[in-house]
Order: sequence, then structure tokens, then C-alpha cells
Amino acid sequence: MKPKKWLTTVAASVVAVSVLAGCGSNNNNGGNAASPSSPSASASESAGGKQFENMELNVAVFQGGYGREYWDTIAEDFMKDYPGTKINITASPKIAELVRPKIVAGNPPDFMYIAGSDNLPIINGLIKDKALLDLTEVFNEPAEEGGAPLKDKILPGVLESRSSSPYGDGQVYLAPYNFGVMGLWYNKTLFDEKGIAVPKTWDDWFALTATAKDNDRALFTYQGLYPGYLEEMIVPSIYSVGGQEALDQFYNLDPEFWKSDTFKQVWGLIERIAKEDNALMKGTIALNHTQSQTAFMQGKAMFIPNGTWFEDEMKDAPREDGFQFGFLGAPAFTADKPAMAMTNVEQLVIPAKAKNPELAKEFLKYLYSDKSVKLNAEKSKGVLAVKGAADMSKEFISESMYNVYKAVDEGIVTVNGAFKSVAKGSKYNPSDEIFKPISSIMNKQLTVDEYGAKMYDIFTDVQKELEQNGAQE
Amino acid sequence: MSAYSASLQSGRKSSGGAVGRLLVRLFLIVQALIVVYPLLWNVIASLKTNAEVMESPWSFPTTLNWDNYVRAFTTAKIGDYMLNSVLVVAMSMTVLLLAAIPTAYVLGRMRFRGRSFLTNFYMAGLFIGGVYIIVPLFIMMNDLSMLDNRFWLSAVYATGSLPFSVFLLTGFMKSIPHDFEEAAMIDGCGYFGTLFKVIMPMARPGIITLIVFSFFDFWNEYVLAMTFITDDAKKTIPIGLSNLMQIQQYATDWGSLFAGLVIVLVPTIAVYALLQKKLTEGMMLGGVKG
Amino acid sequence: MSMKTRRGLFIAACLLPGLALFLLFKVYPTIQIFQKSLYLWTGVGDEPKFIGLQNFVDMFHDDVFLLALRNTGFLMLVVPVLTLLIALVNASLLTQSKLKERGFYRTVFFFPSILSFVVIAILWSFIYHPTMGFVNSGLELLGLGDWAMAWLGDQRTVLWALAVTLIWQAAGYYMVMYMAGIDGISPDLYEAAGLDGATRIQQFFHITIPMLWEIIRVTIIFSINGVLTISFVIVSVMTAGGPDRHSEVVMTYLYSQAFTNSNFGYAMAIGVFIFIISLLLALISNKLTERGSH
Repeated sequence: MKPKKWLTTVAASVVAVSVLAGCGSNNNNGGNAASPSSPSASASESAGGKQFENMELNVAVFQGGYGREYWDTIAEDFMKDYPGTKINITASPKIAELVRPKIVAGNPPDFMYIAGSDNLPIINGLIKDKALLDLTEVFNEPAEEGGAPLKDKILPGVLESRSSSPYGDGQVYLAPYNFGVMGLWYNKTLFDEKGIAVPKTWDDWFALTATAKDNDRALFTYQGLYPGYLEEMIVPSIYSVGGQEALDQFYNLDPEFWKSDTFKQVWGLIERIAKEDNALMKGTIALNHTQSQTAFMQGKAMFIPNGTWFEDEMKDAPREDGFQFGFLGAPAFTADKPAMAMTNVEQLVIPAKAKNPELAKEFLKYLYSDKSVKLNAEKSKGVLAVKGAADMSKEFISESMYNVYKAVDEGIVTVNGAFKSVAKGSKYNPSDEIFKPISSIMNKQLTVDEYGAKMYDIFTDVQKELEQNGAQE
Repeated sequence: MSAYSASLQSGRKSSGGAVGRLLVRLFLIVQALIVVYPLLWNVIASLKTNAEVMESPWSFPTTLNWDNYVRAFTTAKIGDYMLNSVLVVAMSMTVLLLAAIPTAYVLGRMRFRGRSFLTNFYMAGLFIGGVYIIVPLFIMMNDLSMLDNRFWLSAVYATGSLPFSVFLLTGFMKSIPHDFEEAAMIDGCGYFGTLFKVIMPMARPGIITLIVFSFFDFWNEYVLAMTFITDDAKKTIPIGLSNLMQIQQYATDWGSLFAGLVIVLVPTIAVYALLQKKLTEGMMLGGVKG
Repeated sequence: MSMKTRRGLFIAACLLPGLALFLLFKVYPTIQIFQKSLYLWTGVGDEPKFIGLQNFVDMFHDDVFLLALRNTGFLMLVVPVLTLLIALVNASLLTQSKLKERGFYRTVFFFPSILSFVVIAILWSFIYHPTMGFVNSGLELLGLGDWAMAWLGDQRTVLWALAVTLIWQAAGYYMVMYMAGIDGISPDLYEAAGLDGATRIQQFFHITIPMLWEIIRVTIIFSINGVLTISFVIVSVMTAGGPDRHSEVVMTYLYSQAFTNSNFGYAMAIGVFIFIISLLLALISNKLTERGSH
């Protein structure tokens, strides 16, 4: 799986149009400002000026769709630029399982990149326990000697959002890494050749069931075993119908959301997918992410939700002739509203108990250098949440990916958010509670009304727990 | 068995025997196919390209893609994982035998106060499975710095098998006639001498059964190894394999996933072929006496 | 040293290694789960807080836990019964029909039980694959394409699908055990029954099963415990508890509460509950089968 779930509190910030439009225009400045002091130059200064008592850095990274090559390479570069330092990298798709015992033992890695829904709960735990190092100072320091502070390089709104500043006090505890855009995808070649118009509204979208049938495929498939991917349609739709207010209700775990009209409209889409003829690809619910994505690429379904990592993740997978990735985002409910997409930013953290926090901070800063941004694009095909990153990465990332960032640039409204924490010791996990039962709606074994009632009960209970036990301190 | 019963059966079956036999054979062949097919399919899939894997479960690869195997070996370090598994199995077995044989001997053949309590105590241990005590076990091992250590993992494995082993061996021990021991004692063998020189050889079938039972348990254990071992260099085969599957899932390289499975299957099949007779014999003894 | 002390020392020396291991790695953690199940404890550097039986009360209001319990119960009932039945039938067929290739079948049927559960789970998740899987494309070949379905994606079939995998894994193992038992039954019994005109099926019920009864009792308990352990691996790899938790089992739920949600106290309460249940089950099945043997 991919970076999917957001951690911690509320956030639901609309990082509208400006996000990447901003980077586009700032690109030249950013690029120029950064280029004079190349990383190696700043490094030799640092190596001369700064002394690190401890020269060893233990880094734990998630090995997902982006792979581990970037981390291996950037670590080598860092060791060259900071002679005498030694970086040990541990990488795994289940990185949380590897670092958990070390964290419990009070011996955490010095630096961690944690993503993937299997792994993210550990970050949640660290936030709850206030076990992360405050990184605010790193972002206030100049990126290069005498230059602007590092925070000016980061995409606007990111550091301020709850996913970077989980306690809402303006202090940064989680540093941003890759920036992703998520929504529905289609086969561009098919649409171009058959002259199919990209649907603007959900009604247009459902009208394509017939077209899909003519082309010998279903309308839609998704990562059945992991229904959490459906948030890429659901969250923008909540925003589209109910605006920021509804989205806040949703992410704040407010039980009233599940009685609202917004809920009924948005989940009505799910029910329609389940019920309409030829809408949902047969067998979808039992497929894992790569299986369903392969089915989509082989032309068994017209649309699938996924993120900007899609093309790279599936680079070895078989596909139908001429297949080309096309990104649509999420259609709107009425023609007067814009199409939308969901965004997320992956996180980098330094545990409070890290043995070598100073070197870890230096390493973190190093990751935001232009050289690193390009390397990241080249090796992992990821785009850092840094201004101008999309253009810096252009030569390495695929056209489809660049186009997605471009589309965001050109007016797709982007939505982002994270669930508020549940009470300490609660058995509920909001994302699981909300998305897992969607399989039953898709199977026509649960109606939206029943589902809504169930959610209402669950979140009433969640709120009760919060009142009794208090939130995480 | 005896010609006696054979003649009896042929006598009884002369009427519908041939048809019955055919039906029985058919029934067994269908089952054999159900058992063998998934494994065969795995081998075939390990030689296919990605596109071919996704096509149909019945098709054959157009060319044999041996590089699936190369990738499985180079990217997944299957060889290292195997070495770890061998080490862990050997250590677990040693600890288990050292603990189980004397315990079973004493519980099975000597009378002393507390014997039946201890026997029941171990019996109760049969119901303490690995997963539900995993949380306190994990915390305790963390406190004692036993995590990420192949020896302590082996000790946990051995302890996991201990109640069953004691149960199994005690049965064997009980079935050995008391005369042997008395004779040995009279001959001047001490207690330990009697245990090692007289009882152990007599209980050999039981011990072999135990080894056979435990071997595959240790070899295949997944949950404990996944929780207690974090260092990539110390991981055993099942963990390495699921890691491989995770990585393959991200990279959608099914060919080499299946190659990895085959690489793990081959030694298992080899060991099985070698030990097959001992194994089923042991199982039978275990079944009869246990 | 008197004979008696020497004897006492020998007994102690023999018992010590086993007891030490047993106390450290089994008994102590078991006591811990009982004790810590009474605490609110969220792991990672958290101080446990005593909350009495609250975790247990929560458990019975936790729909997911109850569903997991039901699913586990289903597997613990269906899998042992079918596995042992298939094993018994195969064992008696193989021992009595005197087929030349009996050794071959024994070898083949036994094989799945030595495979790693991880390997089995990966293979079977492809067998059930909705489009390229052996089951569905087999149905299509037979012209029964309409029957094809997402076996692991439908709450009506997912548990049965998992049960089949578990049976596939274990039936051969118990079969070999039973074959040994049947070989130990005196042929005279079958001969006498044959002379009395008993059919094969009557012999199976009136000789084979009663004579094997003690072995069957033991295998029932093994099989129930086996389901608890193996279901963890099979479920985590094949379905991740889906769809909508209809294949969640207590072990996967315990593990995720402990290591994903960091609810150590709650996870231990679940552990206590399973421990008691499996102990009770063993006692009950032991009692029930005891009566059956007379």
C-alpha cells in the first residue's frame, strides 16, 4: 500500500490551486537561490564548522512504491559530504514492525521515514506519547548560510497543517517528504481514440457504464482488500457537497456527520456503484491493490482510485495495448463546481529519544537540498513537498505524473485532512471503522442507512470515550 | 499385513471389488490432484513472465524465465534466511531435547510427591499458545534484552513445544518395562547412567517422533519470529518470504515471488523425501502411543 | 549420600531445565496476561493504570471482537470436524483397500502439513483469485462461469474458503496418525466382523472409530489448537480480515490491538479470554468424547 492515511488531528486544509501554481512561479527564484551553494559546498562548511560528537546515524525507512534506492544514494552522498559520518539504513515494507521493539526498548532509530497504512499507527503512538523531537528550529534556520529560512522552501500551508504540527501549537514535529495527489485514473488512449469525454460530474461518470460495456469492461474497480483507497473519491466529494464544514465534522469524528445530507449524497455514490449494472468490476472486493490495479491496466475497468505513485508502482505490470495513465481527480456533484483531488504529504520524524539528534537534523536539512530533490525524483519518482519540486523533477518523473501536478496547477481543487485522535486506550480506529464496512455496501449486504446508523453509534461512543478518558494528553 | 486378512478381503470383495477399487482409486486420485496442483502451478508460474502469470492458471510459459530465480536470490537473500532457519531449528531442537527427555523420564517412571501436579501443569501448558501470550513475552524479553537474538527465539520455540513433547515422551517412557531399569540399577548404573544408557535407546522411536514433530514446527514458525527478530540479517525463512511477498507486491514482480516460493519448497521437498519413511514411522508411533 | 537424597537430587536435576524454561516463557507471561488484562495500558512508554474488569466489559460491547469470536468459533468447529473426518476416511481406505500405490498417496497427502503456512497462504490466495484463479477459471472451463465469485471477497464464502485451506493443510497429517492407529488394530477384529456379514461402512463405524477413539480424542484437541494458531497466518496473508472484517479472527484482532493500536491491556484481556475458552473447549471435548468411548 501507499501513503494513505493521515495521522493525528483535524487539519482538513484546502491547499487550493495556489500550491503548485506557487511553485511554478517561484521555481526560478528557488532554483537560483539554491544553486550557488551546492550541497557539497555547504557540506564542507558544515563538516568544518560543525562537529558531531556522534558520527553514526541509524535511519529507518519505509520501502514502498518509492523503493529504497533514493535513501541508499542520498546516505552515501551525505557520508561523502560529511566525512567520518556513518549512516545505517534499515528499509522494509513493514518498517513499523522493525522499529517498534527498538522504540519500546527506548532505543529508537535516529531518523525515520514512516508511511504506508500498516506502519502509520506507530507515528500516531509517538505523537500521543509526545515522543517526537521538535523540529521547528530546523525550519527556522537558513537553508544555506545566510539565506532564507528553510521553511520558505516548503510548499505553503504544509508546515502549518496538522500533519506537520500535530498539537496545533505551531511547533513542527513531522517534516514533510513526498507530496502526492490522489483521485480517479483512466486509460487516456482509450478516451482519446473512442472520443470519450472525461466526465465532469458524477452523473456524467455513471453515464459511462454503457460506454464501458461497449468497450468490454466495467466502469470501476478499486483496491478491494483495502477499501481505504476509496477516500480518494469520498473525501473530495464530502468537500464538494458540504464544504469545509462537513469535512471538519468528518475528520473531527462528529457523530452528527452520519446523519447529514452530505453523508447521504456521498455514500449514495457507493451504493450506486454497487447497484448499477456493469458499474463495479466483478471480484473487485477480493483483490488486493496490485491485483486490482493490474486488472484496471489490462482494460477490465475504466476507472480506479490511486495516487501519483501509480505509474512507478506498476511499472512491471502487464497492460492493454497503448495503455496511458490519465488522471481525473474526483468529479463534482454539479456542473458548476470544479473537479477535485486529494493530496497528502508523507512524513519524516526524529524520535525524542534518538541517540544522535544533531546529526539527524543535519541529515533532514540535507534532504531538502535541490540535489536531493532531484535525486528523489530520479530514484524514487517522488516529488518532495518543496516549492518548484515538480519542475525540478520533470525530467525524471513520468509525463502522466507531471501532468497530475500540472492539473493541480491548472485548477483542480485539492483537499487534505486527517482524523482527530481517539481516546487513549480506545479500541476504535476511525479509518478502519469508516472504510472497512464499505466492502459490505459494495457487496449489497449493507444499506447506506444501516451503515450510517452504525457509524453514528460508533462515533457517539468515540466521543463518549474522549469525554471520559480525555484525548491523548 | 498378514496374508490372512488379505485373503479375507479378496474373498469379500470378489463381487463388487473391482468397481469398488476403481471408485476408491478415483476418489484418491482426485484428492491427490487437489494437493499436488497448487504446488505444480507454483513451479510453472515461477517460470512465467508477469503478463503470463496474470493470464490464465492453465497456460504454460512461452519461454522459461530463469531470471525470476536470479532476482529472487539476489534481491530476497533467500540463502541467508535459510541459514538462519537451519541455525534456529538446530538450537531449538537441542534445547528441547535437553529439557524434555529428563522431564518425561522422571514424570513417566518415578514416583514422587508433586508428580501428578507437574504432569497436569505441563498438560495445561498445551493450551498456552504462542499468540496470546505474545505481548507479555515481548515485553519481558525486551526487559531482559532477549529480543533480536536467535538463541532466545530458539528457547521460546523449545518451550512452546515442551508441553507436547513431555506429554508424548511420558507415554513412551511409561510403556518401557520396569525390568530394564531394575537390571541396570543392579548392574551399578547410576540414575543418569540408566537414563542415558538404558532408557534413551529404548525410547528412541519416541525421541525420533518428537524430532520429526518439532522440526517442521520450528522451520515454519512465523508469528514469534516476526515479532522477536528485527534485524534483517537474523530473519528466518517464513519472515523472509513474507517480506519478499510484501516487496513483490509493491513491485508487482510475481514471477520472482513464485520463484522465491519454489526456492523454499525445494529443500523442504528434499528433506521430506529423505526423511519420509522415518517421518511417517515416527508419526505412527506417536499416534499409537500418544 | 543416601539413596533417597540421590534420588531426590536426580529428580530435581531432571526437572529443572524444563521447569525453568516453562516458568520463564510460558507461566510468567500467562500470569502477566491475567494481571495486565486489568489495566489500561497503551504501550510505548506508558504507565499502566488499573481499571478493574473494564477491558472485559468493553470486549463484550466490541462488535468487531464479537464478530472475530464468531468467525473463530466457526473455524474451530468446522475445520476440526471436516479435517478429522476426511483424515479418518482416507486412512481407512488406504489401510484396508491394500492398493499398491498406498505409499504414494500417503506421501502426497502428508506433504501439505510440512509446508510453511506463509507459502500455503500465498498459494491459496492465487487459487481463489477472482479472475486468474484456479477455482473460477476451472468453473468457467466446466461451463459453470455463473458460479464463479470472489470467494475471499464475499462474506458468505470467505470463511468457508479459509476453512478449505486449513483442511487442505492438515488432513494428511492426521491421516498418517490414524493410519498408524489402524495398522495397530488386530486384523482378527475385521475378520470376525466380516464373517458376521458387516459391511465396510459398518466396520468403519463399529471397529475403526471405537478402536481409534483415544487417538481421535487427542487429535481433536490438537486440531482445535491448530486452528487458533494457523488461522492467524492464513488470515493475515490471504484476506487481511476482510471483507468488512468477516474473516477477522480473535488472534489477528488481538495482534492488531496490541501492535497496531497499542492497546496492550485490552489485547491481554482478549488473550485471557481465548486462553480460558480454549481450556474450556478442551475440557468439554474431553468429557464428551469420554462418554462416547464406552
